[in-house]
Amino acid sequence: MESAQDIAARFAAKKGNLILDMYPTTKLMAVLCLLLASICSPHWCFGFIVFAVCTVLTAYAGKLTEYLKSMRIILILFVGLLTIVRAFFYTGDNLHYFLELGSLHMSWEGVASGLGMSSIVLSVTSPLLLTTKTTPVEDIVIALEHLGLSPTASFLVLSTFQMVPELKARSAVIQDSQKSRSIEVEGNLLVRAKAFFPMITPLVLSSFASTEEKSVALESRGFNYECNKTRIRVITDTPAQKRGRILMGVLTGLFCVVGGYFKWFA
Amino acid sequence: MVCVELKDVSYRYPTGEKRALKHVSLQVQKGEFVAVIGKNGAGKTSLCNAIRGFIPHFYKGELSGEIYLNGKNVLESSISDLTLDAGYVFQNPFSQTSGTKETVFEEIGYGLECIGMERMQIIEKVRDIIQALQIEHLAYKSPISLSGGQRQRVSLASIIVMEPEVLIIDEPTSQLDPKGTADVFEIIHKLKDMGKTVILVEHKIDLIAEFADRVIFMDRGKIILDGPAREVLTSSILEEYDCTMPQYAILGREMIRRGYQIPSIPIVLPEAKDAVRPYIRTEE
Amino acid sequence: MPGKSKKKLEMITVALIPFAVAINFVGYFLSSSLKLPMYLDSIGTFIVAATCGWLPGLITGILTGVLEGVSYPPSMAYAINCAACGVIIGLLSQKGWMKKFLPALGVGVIVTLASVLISTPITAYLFGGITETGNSVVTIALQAAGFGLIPAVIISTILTEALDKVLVAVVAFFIIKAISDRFLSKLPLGHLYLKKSFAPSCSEAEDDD
Repeated sequence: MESAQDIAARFAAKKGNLILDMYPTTKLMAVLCLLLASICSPHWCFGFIVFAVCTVLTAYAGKLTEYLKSMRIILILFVGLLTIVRAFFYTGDNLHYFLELGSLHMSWEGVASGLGMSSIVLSVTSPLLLTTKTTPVEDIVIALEHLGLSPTASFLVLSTFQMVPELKARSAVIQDSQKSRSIEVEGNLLVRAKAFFPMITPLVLSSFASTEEKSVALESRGFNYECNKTRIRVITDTPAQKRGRILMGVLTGLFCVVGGYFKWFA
Repeated sequence: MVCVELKDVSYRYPTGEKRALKHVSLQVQKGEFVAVIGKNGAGKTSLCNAIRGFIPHFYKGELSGEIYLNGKNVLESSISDLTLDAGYVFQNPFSQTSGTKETVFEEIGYGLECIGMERMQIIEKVRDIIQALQIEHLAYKSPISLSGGQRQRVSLASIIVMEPEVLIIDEPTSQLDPKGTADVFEIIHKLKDMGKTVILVEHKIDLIAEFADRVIFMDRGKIILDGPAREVLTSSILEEYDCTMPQYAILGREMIRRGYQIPSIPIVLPEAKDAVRPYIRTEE
Repeated sequence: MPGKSKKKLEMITVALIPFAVAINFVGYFLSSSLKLPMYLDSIGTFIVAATCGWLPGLITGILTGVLEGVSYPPSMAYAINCAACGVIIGLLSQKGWMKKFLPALGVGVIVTLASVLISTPITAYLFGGITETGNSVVTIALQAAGFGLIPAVIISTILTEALDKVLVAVVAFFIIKAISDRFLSKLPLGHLYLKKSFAPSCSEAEDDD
């Protein structure tokens, strides 16, 4: 087996990629800053610039496919559908229409409103997806722990993230076994609805049974032992990133003041 | 040095009509390997729960008597306080993983993280136990992908690495297939070699005969027999309570019944061979 | 960032919450497999809030929202909604509303109303009435028929949420009935749902066999 030093390095691994190695708090702060900035931005192109930059950065991190898979529906729903809907139904004075469809009219102001809302959605969604696709959950949790997250809370988050796929897999097994016991799953609504209960109940009951043992097992391993918990896996913050975050905060503040002024007062 | 002491302990679960433990008293010395046997419902698990403090802190219920673990009064300590005093391995392989770790290595180290041990020390200790228990091939696998037998081995490793004074192991192989059982008993063998203080609840009486220094036989909440393994496992009292003896002991007793002379009733294979060998006719 | 004080949560509740969140997801998963028109994605929240209280319900709701947000970020905005539902169910359960069928239906109705109240501004002002689910279509159709944005969102949300939440309340009610007394006795609010009061222990003489 490898030496202890090698193992320690394995659990602190740097991948050599600026985005993948970025300290999670930096990424999360970027999400927050971009949210605030997009709200105060006078022009809707802000969100699209953010989207473009995030896409490039995600590609650099090698996670473009997963990113685009999730982004696709956002683009369709918000940039596409929302803009069109707002174009038709935006209300206000002095609207400039450009298209007629029966009794409905599309207005330029509506389009702008739609794009404005999409901009905010994109400004948050893009960096958020970038973060979730390029950062393991555990790293995000560790970063939050450094900011004061309690061990119980970090357990809740991590355990939940592992539990969901596990229970989904178990439910697929139960689905198959129920089908083989000829519980009808095809047919009209009532038939299908009746099939739901015997599929979910065993899962719930077995989960409860596991919970009892699990909670004793966790306690006996020291879950509630009073001390500063340590961790095998580590992530590192750098002074450069710390300075970067402060700069980010300052720039966002300035942008919000200036942009906000132009958006709402000028 | 006395690691475990129970004085006249009686206990009733909140939903139970009858008591699970009745006037139980015993002492376990450091380094002893004690096996606890008995039918289902005899109180074996309740005994283990009481030593570790799950009774009464987790299960509540009515308890009388005194329980001491490494000199600490269990009734006045919390389950967490006793973390390093006794480690506990449960029957169900699937409910002991923390559910928060991506690799077996980190899973084994989870308990040490919980008690705040320094990182490099954790890594060294986990590495050592993985090598000692020969589970290197599992080290970087995801805990979720393991089979029952592999999970129990990891659970054992996770508890042993914390170096508790006493190891309480409750029917670790009851939900495993033969291969899983064999793997787990290999580790139990190592525990015996390491001279650990172990309290093992098991139904597989033939395997117990190989490891235990001392056997406690329980029935309906009471300790019926408590003594050296050989004495208890060959005692006719076991028959009265409908408890199977080790197969070699059954062979030995039958041989005696039929008039064959044997030095003592065997409980393990080498002794059985010695007993039978004089009477095997070889073809000339 | 404040952590959740572990003194407020018992160990067994902490161990249960991840299962509850997972059950929320599985409910949705099974519902789509069976092609049912409801989400059924809050069963876990209902059960945990009813048996453990408002704080576990709140945490389950937040975690559900956060997890959904990993694949579809706008869902994170609704985490507040899920959390509030958890709180309401917990508070009503403390008063015993989930003990009998009709009050349980009542919980479903109240949760629906709360859900509409909270999610409408989110859907309307953050997302312009657009959601990932089919009720966007209803919203758009209503707007085309002349309804304003807010009324359209309210109506379409009521239509989808009412059926869903009331049904979930019923499912949760029956599942809680199926949980063993042994397990219920360990949960903070489990004593409300025990099927029988415990038989008095037999005397030592009877017990001493």
